[in-house]
Amino acid sequence: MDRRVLFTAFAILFLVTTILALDINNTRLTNAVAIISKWKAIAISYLDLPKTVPTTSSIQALFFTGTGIAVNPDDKLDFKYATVIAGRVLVPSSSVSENSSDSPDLEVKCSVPTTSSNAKCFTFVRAGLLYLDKDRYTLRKVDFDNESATAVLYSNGTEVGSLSLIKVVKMGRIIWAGTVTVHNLNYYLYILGANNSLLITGTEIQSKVENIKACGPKLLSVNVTEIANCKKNGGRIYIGRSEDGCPMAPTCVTANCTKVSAISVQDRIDCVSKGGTMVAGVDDDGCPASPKCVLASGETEG
Amino acid sequence: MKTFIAIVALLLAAAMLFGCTQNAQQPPSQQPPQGQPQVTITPVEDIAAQQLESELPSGYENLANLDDMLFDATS
Repeated sequence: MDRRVLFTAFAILFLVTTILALDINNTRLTNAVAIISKWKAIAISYLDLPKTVPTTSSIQALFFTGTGIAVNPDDKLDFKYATVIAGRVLVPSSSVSENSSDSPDLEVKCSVPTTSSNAKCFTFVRAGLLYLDKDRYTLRKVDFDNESATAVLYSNGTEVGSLSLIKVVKMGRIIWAGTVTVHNLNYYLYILGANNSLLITGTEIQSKVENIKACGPKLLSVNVTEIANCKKNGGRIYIGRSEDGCPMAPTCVTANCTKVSAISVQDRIDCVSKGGTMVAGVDDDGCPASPKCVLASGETEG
Repeated sequence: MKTFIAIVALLLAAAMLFGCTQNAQQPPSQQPPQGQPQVTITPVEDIAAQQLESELPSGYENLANLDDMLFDATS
């Protein structure tokens, strides 16, 4: 009798787990295709690659920027003046430190080799800044798809909170609305988008945003652990929209990432001895990329 | 009673298995190998953030934007 009960219980558990796993995978696969095409729209284009290897950092594109107000919903007089900017910065590969070499914010894009020249690789970093009054936070683990954005807030190299925003168009102006969590305090954040010639504005996506039914943003937050877990195996946080254009709960979407080997200490030493920098980062889909030894000339070794 | 004990034991075993899998998924600690000098360089994310600081809006654009919005709304 006992054996029968145990067997039945195991069988039920196995069945439920299998059904759940299949269901999750199916949903992910359906959503991932549409979502990844949005990421491709803001990926680094070959046309954006510079002709020469940079010696200093420069901004390649801005995701969003503006100023506004962050309000504590529990205490309406607890509000802060907010200034934010996020984008992609081209940095010399020699600036990539050992700890940052496999950062989910690091993107390595290589040009196509021609008959006259070898392929050159360039390192880009997704980054950002948020000021709440005079408190300065840097943004890392930045995900952006032109309609929503999420990031982790850092202060003096320590995680202190997170940010999630969605783009809303009102009166013909772009407003970024969402939540920011700092030191376990939640604030509603409203940013009036500022104009900047470096802002990414895909015409197709822009027109879709204009057509989204005004439903009022649901202010959804995403916590640091969720973002970290999502990035661990390659993935991006995505805030989708329902059929009526209303934002949905932030979810972690992963592409079909192929497993890559980690940067070994020996490879790093060999690379440094040749005057290069070992970099990996992530690809356009957010999947961990294969490590490359980028030499000072921009060419890769090995 | 025996059935109850069997189910509780099963749940405990499942919880232990779940705990083991979670531990196995923990990333290895990023301690530098012994004998190698620890190099402290500014994280590239911070270098990029410093670069972005130059394009940070002053906030005065908002006043102009609001002026425009109010003008559009009233005209």
